[in-house]
Formats: sequence, C-alpha cells, structure tokens
Amino acid sequence: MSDELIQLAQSHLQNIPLQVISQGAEAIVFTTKTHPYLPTSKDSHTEYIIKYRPPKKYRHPQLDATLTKHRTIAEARLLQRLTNIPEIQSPGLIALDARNGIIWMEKVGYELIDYDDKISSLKNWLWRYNDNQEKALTEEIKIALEKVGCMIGKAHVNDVIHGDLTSSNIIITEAQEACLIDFGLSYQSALPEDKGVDLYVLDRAILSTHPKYAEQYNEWLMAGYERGYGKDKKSLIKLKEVLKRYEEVRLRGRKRSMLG
Amino acid sequence: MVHLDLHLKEGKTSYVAIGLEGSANKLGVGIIRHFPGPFSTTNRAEVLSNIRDTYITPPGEGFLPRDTARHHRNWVVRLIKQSIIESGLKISEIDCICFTKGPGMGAPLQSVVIAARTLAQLWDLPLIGVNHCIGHIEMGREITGADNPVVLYVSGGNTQIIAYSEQRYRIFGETLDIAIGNCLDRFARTLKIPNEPSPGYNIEQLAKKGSKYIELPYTVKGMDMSMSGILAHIDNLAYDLFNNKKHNKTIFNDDGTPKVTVEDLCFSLQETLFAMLVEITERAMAHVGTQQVLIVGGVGCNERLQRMMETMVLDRRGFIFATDERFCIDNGIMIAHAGLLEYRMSGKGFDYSDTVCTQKFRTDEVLIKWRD
Amino acid sequence: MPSATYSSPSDTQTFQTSHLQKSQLTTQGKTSGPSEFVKVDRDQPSEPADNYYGDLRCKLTYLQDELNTLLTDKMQAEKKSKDMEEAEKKLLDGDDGDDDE
Repeated sequence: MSDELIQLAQSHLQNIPLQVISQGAEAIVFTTKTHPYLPTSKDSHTEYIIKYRPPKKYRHPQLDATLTKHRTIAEARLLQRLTNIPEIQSPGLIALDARNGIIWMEKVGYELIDYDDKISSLKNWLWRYNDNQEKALTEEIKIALEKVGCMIGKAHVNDVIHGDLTSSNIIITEAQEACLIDFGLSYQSALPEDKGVDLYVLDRAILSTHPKYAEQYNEWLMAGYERGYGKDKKSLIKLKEVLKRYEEVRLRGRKRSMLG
Repeated sequence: MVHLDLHLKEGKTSYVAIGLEGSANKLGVGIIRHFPGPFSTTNRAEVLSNIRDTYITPPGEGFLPRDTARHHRNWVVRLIKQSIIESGLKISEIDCICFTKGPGMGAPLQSVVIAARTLAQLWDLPLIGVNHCIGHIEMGREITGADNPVVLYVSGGNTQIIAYSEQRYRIFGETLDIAIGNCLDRFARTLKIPNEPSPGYNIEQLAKKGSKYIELPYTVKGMDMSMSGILAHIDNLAYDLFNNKKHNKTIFNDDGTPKVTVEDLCFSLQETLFAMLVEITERAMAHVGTQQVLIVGGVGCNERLQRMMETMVLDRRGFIFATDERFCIDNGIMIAHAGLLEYRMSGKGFDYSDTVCTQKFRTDEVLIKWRD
Repeated sequence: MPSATYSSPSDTQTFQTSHLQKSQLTTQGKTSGPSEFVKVDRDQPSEPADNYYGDLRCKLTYLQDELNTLLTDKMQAEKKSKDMEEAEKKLLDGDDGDDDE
C-alpha cells in the first residue's frame, strides 16, 4: 500500500486520526473514532468509516475527476436513500466531500476472531470454512446466504442496482444479518436487464471466489432473492421478468462466441 | 507439487512439441522443447521456432472466415516446413502435435485441425487439442516468470480478467458484449484506416498524436465491462466529424471549425477503454489478493495500455508482466507449450474422435492438471 | 484411388477420381477461390509436386469441388422449397403479425 496515498488522504482530513483497514481497488477505507462534526466523548468506542477515493494516476485527469466526483456523490446519495428503506441494511451516511472523494459513514461488521481478525465480509465469513465441507454447508450458512439474497431482492424491488455485487461487498453483522456496502457503481433502474446483469455479476463472483461450493451458495442466494420479492402478484410478475433476463444474460455469457 | 515427468520416454532427455494456431486471421507454427523437472529460472522452455503469417484484409473490411481459412489452408504446409528447418530437428524427435481446439472462427480453426490430423497420421504422432486462451496464459507465465498473476487477456475476440484457483483459470470479469480488439478494429474500419500491420496498431499510432480528451460513456459493471455503447457513441462522433454536422457542439466550435481531430477521437477511445481495463484488473487484484499482473493477447502489445497498467500496479507495489509481439499476438509456440504440458501429464494424445475444434470454448472449462 | 461418398436418408452419391486425366489435375479448386472482397490475392495454393502427394492434392481438390457443388445445390433446393412453403402458408393463413412468441 502506498504511503503517499495515505498522506494525501490525511491532507484532506487534517487532525483526524486515521487507521487503514483496507485498500480496495477504488478506495482506501479508514476507521476513526472522531466524528466529523459532533463532539467525541473520551470513552466512546464508536468507530466511523471514512472512504477515500484517491486520484488514479493511470487515467486521464479529466476522466479521473469526473469518475471520482460522480461515484462519490452517487454513493452518498444512495446511502441516504437507503436509510429510508428499512428492509435494506446499509451503513448510514455521516458526511460527504465529493470533490476530494471522501465519504464518512457508520461502521458495520465486526472482526472475525477465528479468521485473523479480518472484517466480517461475506467473503471472509465463508472462506473461514473453505477447507471444511461440513462447516461450509451448514444451516447457519444457508440462512445467512438466504438473507443476503433476500436483501438483494429487496434492493431490486426498490429499483436499486448495486452494480458490484461480490462477496467482499456484503457484510455479515454480529447478529448474522446481511448488510450491503460499497455503492460506488450503484444506480437506480427499473429495467429487468440491469437487475439481470446485477445478479449475473454476483453469480460469477461467487463462482470465481468460492468455486468449491458455488453451486449450492448460488442456489441459496437465489432462493432468498425470490423471497425478497414478497408474495403479491405484481412483484411476482416483475420477479419472473428479471429471472428471465438473468437466464438470458447467463446464456449470453456462456455462449459468447468470443469473436465479438 | 505436481509431477510433470511420469511419462518421460526411456532414453529421452527432453520433450518436443509442434503447435499449430489459426483461430483468427493469424496462422502460427511453433516448436518448443521442455526439459524434465519443474520450470525454474534455470529450467526454461526452449523456443526452437516461432513463425507466423497474417491474413490481411483491405482497408474498411473485416476478415471473412472463408478467405481466412483459405489463407491458412494454402500457407500451412509452407509454414510447417520452414518451422521444422528453423528448429534443426528431425521429425522423429517430435513427441506430439498440438493444435488450437478453440475458441475462434469456425472455418479457420477447421482448416488447421485438418492440417494437424493429416500430419499426425503422416508422422504417426499423438494429437493434443489446446484452448487458445490457456495457450496465451501459460506462454505468458513461462516467458515472464510470473508465478501466480491476475491475467488480463485482451485480443480481437477476447476480453477477460482471469485468476487461477483450484486447478482452473477462473474468469473474474469479462466483456458483456464485444471484445476490446474487436471494438478498436471496428472503429478503424469506421475511420477507413489501413489494416496493415494491424488496425489496433494504427489506432495506437493516431492516438499518440491526439491530446484532447472527449468524454465517452464509461461502462464498468463490477469486474465486467461493456463496450458496444462506447463504440456506437464514438462512431457517431466520427460520422458527424466527417460529414460536417456542425450542430454537434461536442466536436464543432460555434464558428463551425472542428474542435477535435481523428487523432483526438482515437486518443479518447483508448483512454476510456484502457481505463476500464485497468480498473477491472485492479478490482481483481484486490479481490484475489495478488500483486502480479500479466497482460496477454494482441491488444496487450499496446504501449499505452502497458504504461497505464504499470502505473496502477506500481501504486499497489505490485509487479507487471507483459510480453512482446512474438508471444502477445496469436502464435503457434503457445499452443505447443500448453499442449506439451497437457501431454506430459497424460503421456498420450487425445482420442481421434476428440481431435475436433469448437468455436465456443471457455477458459474455465479446462482442468489445469499441471498446477497445484 | 481416392473417392468420396455422400449419403443421407434420401440420397447417396459417390464421386470417383479414376477418370481424371493428367491435364485435369490442378490444385486450383473451382469452389475454393477467394471471395469478391479480396483485391490482391497473395494466398494462391502452390503448384502440385510431381509425385504421389501432388497427385493426391489435386484429386482431393477435385473431390472437394464436387462435394461443395452438391451441398450448395442441396441447400439452395431446400431453401427454395422452404420459401415456397412459407409463401403458401402466408397465403392460406394470412399474416396476423403475431411473430413474437
């Protein structure tokens, strides 16, 4: 990880103690105990997340500025919107500095004590058991994956497309509830095609990240997804349309002639 | 640790394979030698010959399968002869014949399979069918020494981001519509610039002279990307530019003079597409947790792409690996190399009924027996 | 002597090469030339060698031509009859414009 980028972040966040917890592809994620505008009590254990999108030197400055600003604003806007949809868990928005690519939000998830204290992303949560088939396919995991699927279904019902559904972008909370994070590629859309592609991205992410149990995991996720649509007739028609598109996108993927 | 030498023939001190590639417009023949034991800095595969002939189409045209297949049919014997001479080998020293099984264009693939089958009968040698993409990956790893990289495979027909796990090269991301090389080729056709030496190369040269960045759609979806919308968008800009559609304020000033040049369009197209490629590669690196990136495939020769990727990788304190046009562009040696790995694991060729080709053949379908 | 046989449930045809005269032997197939898009043809087949393999190449070229012609004719005939059928169907059933499903 580049110290230069951390210094850059610090220059935008003067006097805020920062602790790096991850460097994703797009952003560096810090924790801090300092709230941006509320007074911090000395004995408070509450931590906040600061997500910083550093400039990417590899891309054209104009493109970089547009993307950073656009994605930061889009993510903040979506986080704000999601707080009004109680059935979708996501970190609450605290503050935004769009020009510098900075978002403050609530911290979700916990450290997995049986997995090197890594954050409880779905990826780490599942990988703990990768070498133990019995543990990898328990009822506990089934229930959690159904909850994850259900929440994605709820997001789609609300026309929220996550855009980057991987097991790293889903958090399992201490109460074993699902929580969605990382909305940098998210957008609003009612199109079944967009929802189908969203599901396809997830399907492939599970397949490549958890190949041993992918089939079962995807089945559980999809069972939950269908549940997320509820039972009323209108939703079921919408669900059917999305599943049809999803199947089409999958076929397109597998049958792509590779010749363009 | 996988044992690569369970089938070494008595009295032999090395393995030799000839590889035939013709899945698109390039016909390649290569001969490779492996020595026993695992590969290392002191035990490298030896390239004995690696030659190629490209079917070139007139400007503004794509290559037709029929003419491409004809090119391959009528050159394959000459290329094989030249390759054998270059290698200095006797036919009796060759262990197996490897050919591209797919993916690719049907007719060109078929003409090369027939050549391989005929040779196998003439010389009485086993046949091995190779997945074209696996050929690129394995040759890239061998040439660069990258041991477990995220692989960006970018060519006329493919755009994939790949990483190894549990004996398969898994596809983490890919294009949801057209391939990057195809996108560049088609824009070259719109501009009616020559196809020689390759349309992508000519776009690259024009892009070097461009400087004004025009915003284009940017379509990354997770680790997947989409390019057909970008192509349609820039095709329209080029059309308006050529036809003096002065109402288009993106490319014309208020006084009617053009704001941008063809070079600027090429520059903007490359900047946008490559930024998307580098972004999904970085995502894959973060997701898989590796520090190595290997670029393979014809578009991998593009210097701008290599430089952008390098900038990203160095920021992550990682390592970038790329090959030059001898190995980047479709070639026979990579087919020989990957086929020989397969042969060393099984000690025999494919059943004759399996020595066919297929247009659709996904990278993750192949069981990688030669890696842990 | 090489020969080729085409067989389908409705038809069987065999093509021989024994009748070919030396002057008829060529590697330039009637059906394996370039498409009309090719302006400069640098991919001509080489001349046949004066030996067994050269002879074999020419005979295979001949057989391939015969087969290609046969298959093309068959495809065209099939297409024609299908077109007729469709035209008839359209005439009898009318065009209700419900082609989506």
